[in-house]
Amino acid sequence: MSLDNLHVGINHYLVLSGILFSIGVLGVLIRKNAIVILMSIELMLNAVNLDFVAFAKFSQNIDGQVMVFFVMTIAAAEAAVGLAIAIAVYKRFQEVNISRFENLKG
Amino acid sequence: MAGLNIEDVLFYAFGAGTVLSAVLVVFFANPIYSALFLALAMSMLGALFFVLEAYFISVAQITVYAGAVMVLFVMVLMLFDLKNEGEDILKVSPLGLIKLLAVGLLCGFFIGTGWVASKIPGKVISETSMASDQQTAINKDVQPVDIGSTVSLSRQLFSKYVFAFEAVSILLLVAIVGSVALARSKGGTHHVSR
Repeated sequence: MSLDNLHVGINHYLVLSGILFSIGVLGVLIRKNAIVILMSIELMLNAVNLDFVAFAKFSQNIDGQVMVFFVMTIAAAEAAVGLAIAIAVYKRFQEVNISRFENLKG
Repeated sequence: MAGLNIEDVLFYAFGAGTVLSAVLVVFFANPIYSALFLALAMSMLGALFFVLEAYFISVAQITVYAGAVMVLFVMVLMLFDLKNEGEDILKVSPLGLIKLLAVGLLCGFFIGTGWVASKIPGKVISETSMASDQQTAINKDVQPVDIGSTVSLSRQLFSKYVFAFEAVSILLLVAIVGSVALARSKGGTHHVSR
């Protein structure tokens, strides 16, 4: 493997973002704690943000950064609502295990 | 092109740090440690954004994610008494192995795609080649902009994306009202008399 391959291009950023996304998926799949699942979702959103910023840099087009701005705003709103639901579940069951969420109904 | 320049070194350092923190987020049994390592991962991603010349996004990442969102997570964790949360993450079960295998396959696809894409001759996507592609693009309304400046970011935000910007403000209002209404409801979503 030559040193030229280690020179960072867009592929490196895409692979890093893919690895981060996979770790986020793993967290959503194997964890039972709802808070940690929300954290893993944040991790996945951040992986996508890294993609957007990398494309913005390597194509010299700022639209990717605008998208990151929107993704951040929506992720913050999603975290607030998700944590409010977690608080509601904790009040009812005294734990935030994801299996309790199947009891959510009107 | 011998030797690594400073951007490559920063990419590998912060990239490795981000991946390590992300793994620790998933595999720490105590959620408060997960939250702290998530804050670390967010900060390192902010540094990567800085390397990518997205200065405004970098600062926003650190204030909004590593600051505000993580404070929200830690506050909620403080409200819960999760001492007896002995979650067995590393327990080996057939279903767990299938999940691990599926995620490993996904990760392998990502890495393999990147590796194959770097092998294609003449299709190396570099900063200069994509920028010159854009010069000759049919889409002439895309002006070459200075991607590092907040001025060009806000110019796009308040002209091309102004409708989305206003829609996001409505979404935030809905989220505020919804989360307050959810958190105030007695006994979660069920009507129980306590």
